[in-house]
Amino acid sequence: MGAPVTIPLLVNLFLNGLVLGTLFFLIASGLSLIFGLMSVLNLAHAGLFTWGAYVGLAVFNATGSLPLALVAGAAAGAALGAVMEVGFIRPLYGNHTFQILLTLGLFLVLNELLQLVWGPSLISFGVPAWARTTISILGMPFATYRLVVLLLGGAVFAAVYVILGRSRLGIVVRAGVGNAEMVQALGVNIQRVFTVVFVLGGALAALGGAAAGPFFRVVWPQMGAEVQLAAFIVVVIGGLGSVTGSAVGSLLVGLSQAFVGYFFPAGALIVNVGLMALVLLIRPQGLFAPGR
Amino acid sequence: MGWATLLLQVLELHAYIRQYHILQGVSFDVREGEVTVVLGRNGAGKTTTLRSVLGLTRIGRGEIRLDGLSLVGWRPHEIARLGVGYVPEDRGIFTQLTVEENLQVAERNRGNLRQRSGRIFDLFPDLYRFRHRRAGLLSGGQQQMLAIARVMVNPNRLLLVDEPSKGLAPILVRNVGEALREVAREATVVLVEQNLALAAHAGDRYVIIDDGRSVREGPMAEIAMDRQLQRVYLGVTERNGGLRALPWARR
Repeated sequence: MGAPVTIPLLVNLFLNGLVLGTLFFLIASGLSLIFGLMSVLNLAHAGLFTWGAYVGLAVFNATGSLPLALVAGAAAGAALGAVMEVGFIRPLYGNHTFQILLTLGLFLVLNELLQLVWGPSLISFGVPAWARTTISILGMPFATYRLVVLLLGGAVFAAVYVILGRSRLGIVVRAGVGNAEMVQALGVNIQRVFTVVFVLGGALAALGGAAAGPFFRVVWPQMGAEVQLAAFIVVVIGGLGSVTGSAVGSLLVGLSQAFVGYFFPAGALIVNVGLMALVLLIRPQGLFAPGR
Repeated sequence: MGWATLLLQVLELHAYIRQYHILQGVSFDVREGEVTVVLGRNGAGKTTTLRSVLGLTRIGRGEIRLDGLSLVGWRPHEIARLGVGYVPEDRGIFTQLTVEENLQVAERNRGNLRQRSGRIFDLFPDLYRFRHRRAGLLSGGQQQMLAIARVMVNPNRLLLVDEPSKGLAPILVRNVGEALREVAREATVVLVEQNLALAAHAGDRYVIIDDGRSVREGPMAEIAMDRQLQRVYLGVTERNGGLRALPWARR
């Protein structure tokens, strides 16, 4: 704040907004699919984001490889997602009150376990030399790593979009978002589909966490909780069960956070919540119909 | 009855929806190759009976046997994979999916759809024309055709069809009747139907459910001759035209 508003500044804010939006998308898309398909409001989802960041950090410190750190973070999220669905949530489908209590409890347990292993303090996430370089966009330096996150987000969106749109699994998931009971009646083991979606959602959230570590240059135990609120706003704006909605909602929230956060730092959250309220008033089902 | 093969046996079935005791003793047999029509007033328990057979509604006690095999405790997808198809009352169409994708979801074994799509689209040419259209944009009649087409994707032994004529114009009801006759050529059918004309057109036997209990069963033609049965259990009177709707009653 205080610096003159120039085109390069606006471009930089725009790109930062896109990166934030990408991180929001990675956590929100799984949240949205899990809620859309299984009607489970998974409050523990943010815990997977944090675990992804810490596992990513551990693997990066051990190997020095950022791609390996991202893969390991995603794998940890997938494993935790599977354990969560099979071990805890499965008996509680249809019981929303218990689900909320359980997933809130799981979130606390995940966070405590994480602090037992890594402690409660901030840990810096060093990034490799190539990721610390900058490139010039309209005369403004822009961190190479941020472009990597953008490309990663784009690739993940394309992959999820193609899987949901073209594969049999995707068609079944989209059908299940609309009417899970009918999918069963047609001979599909919807339980297995639920597990796959939980695994996929967990992997995406944790990948988001692993990608966020080098972006923020630090990891801390509450980082998932801080992103979760934005993710919920994204899910409401985009529409439950819609990955395209999550992508568009994430970009809206990310851009709003970048711009409003820069010019009116205290107003970023207010604007995002206001955006959500506006969508709820005009189109309560979200901007995009569920299903893709 | 003796020599006909029983495909489905429902014995003293009790079923619950939440704390409500909906079925309180439903028993009937379904013979292989026949169309058995489940009749009864609104709220009698007809839909719950179909849903119980497919495992979608919790059974308290009683027995359901498919070809002698007890289905109690089986999950819906397992029962479906035994060759049980279901056309629900609300059609169960996936409105966000295209017509083609709706058929793909139903495909239990790879190749089934390719093998059978010719016959499906011959019977329902509109579905071929609109195969890339979102199913939610189809008319009510077309959605009903899609719901029936979906069970034709796989070879089924038993089809459970719930009020296929509901909410349809009379001309469409006739089309539904034709479609049902076609699917009944290769599967045994249990049909819940309030439209007596369609029931009579399609059915071989009937069972009447009243207040959660099966109270009568027999050959379909029996209903036309028993006005008291129509009045007491089905609410049909001369005034509301129910009898005139029965084709054989006019003969």
